[in-house]
Amino acid sequence: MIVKFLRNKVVEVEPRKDGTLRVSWRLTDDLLKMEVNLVVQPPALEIIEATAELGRFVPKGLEDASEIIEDVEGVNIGAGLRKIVRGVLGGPEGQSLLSEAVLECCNAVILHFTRPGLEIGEALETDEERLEAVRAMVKSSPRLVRSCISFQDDSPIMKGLDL
Amino acid sequence: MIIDLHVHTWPKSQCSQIEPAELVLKAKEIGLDGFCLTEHQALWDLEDVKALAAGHGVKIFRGNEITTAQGDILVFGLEKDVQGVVTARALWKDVEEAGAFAIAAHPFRGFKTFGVGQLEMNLDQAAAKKVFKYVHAIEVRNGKVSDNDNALAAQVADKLGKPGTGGSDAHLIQDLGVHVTIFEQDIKDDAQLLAELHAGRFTAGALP
Amino acid sequence: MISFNRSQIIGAEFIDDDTIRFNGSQTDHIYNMEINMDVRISDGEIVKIEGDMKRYTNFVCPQAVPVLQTAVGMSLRTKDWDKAIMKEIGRKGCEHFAEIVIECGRCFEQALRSRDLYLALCTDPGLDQEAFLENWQPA
Repeated sequence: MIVKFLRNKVVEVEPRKDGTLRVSWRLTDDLLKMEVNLVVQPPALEIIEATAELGRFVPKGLEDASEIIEDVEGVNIGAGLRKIVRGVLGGPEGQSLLSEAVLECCNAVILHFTRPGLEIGEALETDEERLEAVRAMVKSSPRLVRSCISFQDDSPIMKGLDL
Repeated sequence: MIIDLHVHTWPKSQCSQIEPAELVLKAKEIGLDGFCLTEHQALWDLEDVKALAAGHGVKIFRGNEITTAQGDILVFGLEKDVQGVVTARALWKDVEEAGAFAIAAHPFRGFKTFGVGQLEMNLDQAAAKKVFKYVHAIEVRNGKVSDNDNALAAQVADKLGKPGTGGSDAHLIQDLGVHVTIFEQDIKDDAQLLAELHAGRFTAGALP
Repeated sequence: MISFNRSQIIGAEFIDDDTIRFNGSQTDHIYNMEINMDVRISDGEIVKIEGDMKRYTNFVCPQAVPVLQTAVGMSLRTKDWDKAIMKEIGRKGCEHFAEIVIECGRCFEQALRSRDLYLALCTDPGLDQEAFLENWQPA
């Protein structure tokens, strides 16, 4: 059946020569096109630059998105990020499209840093070694505990860890 | 006196699964002398706290965990109802006016899948975080972060000459008391807790 | 060079007058998964869902597939529906499945607007599209 609506979204992280990370987020669907770009500065993961551009049929309240988004400049990707970004960009009832785009950019940065650790685990030779690597990761990261099905108390990964 | 300075309960903190009543019983069971209810931007009513503590022999204190654009800050002695996301600087103004006490909560909380250590932040960079300009103390033992993240917080506290506190940041009952603050004096109420915090007569630690 | 890249694609079919079927897929350097989800238009309730986990990080991850069924009965029109999805599907199952379900949910109204505009343009190609969308109300 032919779809009556299609949305495409892509987010990319690109490390740059100056040590910053450029994050590019783009959305296109039948009614909206939108682009958000962030520059993130490690090690504090501070958002030092934020731009947004919308087109096609722009939702009400987002006509000034390119100005509104500047308010996230100076925010660090870290503890309380969701609340901070949603608060800074207009609160829970505010510019949700824009704040969710920023949060997806930040999530991509987090996954950029997650990837190398997973690759190390993947390079291990035996299932036992890989299981031990996952267990070591969860032991060193209290926030991983019970965060998804893999790290619930009854998961085989958690067996014997007493976390 | 051993107090868990950082605890969340449901429903005041929607992210917590701890019922206030079970908290009192658990605190007694594990040997806490007291704990502090630090919900997310919600201050307990004093009478409700008194009713909760009645007859259990465990002291309950009131604080508040405020989200600022520069990170979470635990405040004690601030009655103002702070809503939305404020700047640490604006909160500091309120804290100073009220004679309250502010603690940078879990300042180096890492991410679920990697720690702050992976970012290779040196001590100078860590200590330069803006939030530290607007607090009296730093939470150097928090139950929701890794040992490395806590260690970095402790190094920063040393470097900046600020005292360190401990709290579980419990959202599940089994997490209560995993880190605590040990006070030199016995503390009977919120006013005295505030005075002891300002006097700096405490250290971060663990239950014996 | 790109170090991390994620793509999400959400399609919406209208399988009858009161049912919208979403197909959502998410692919990135680490994960690849897909869901199909039927939603009743009149009340926003998820009536059917199925998922396929294609690329993941550990052997327990696929156990999140049956957890998707807890979404059935949830409505995309209740307050904080997205938080409920993240809690029930994300924390108890898989966060990345939850991300796809949430993106499908975010497309719900937009898909209805898109369909109605498309149908209106079929009968009136000269239609003022902006005005149509400005005045659009869900049926």
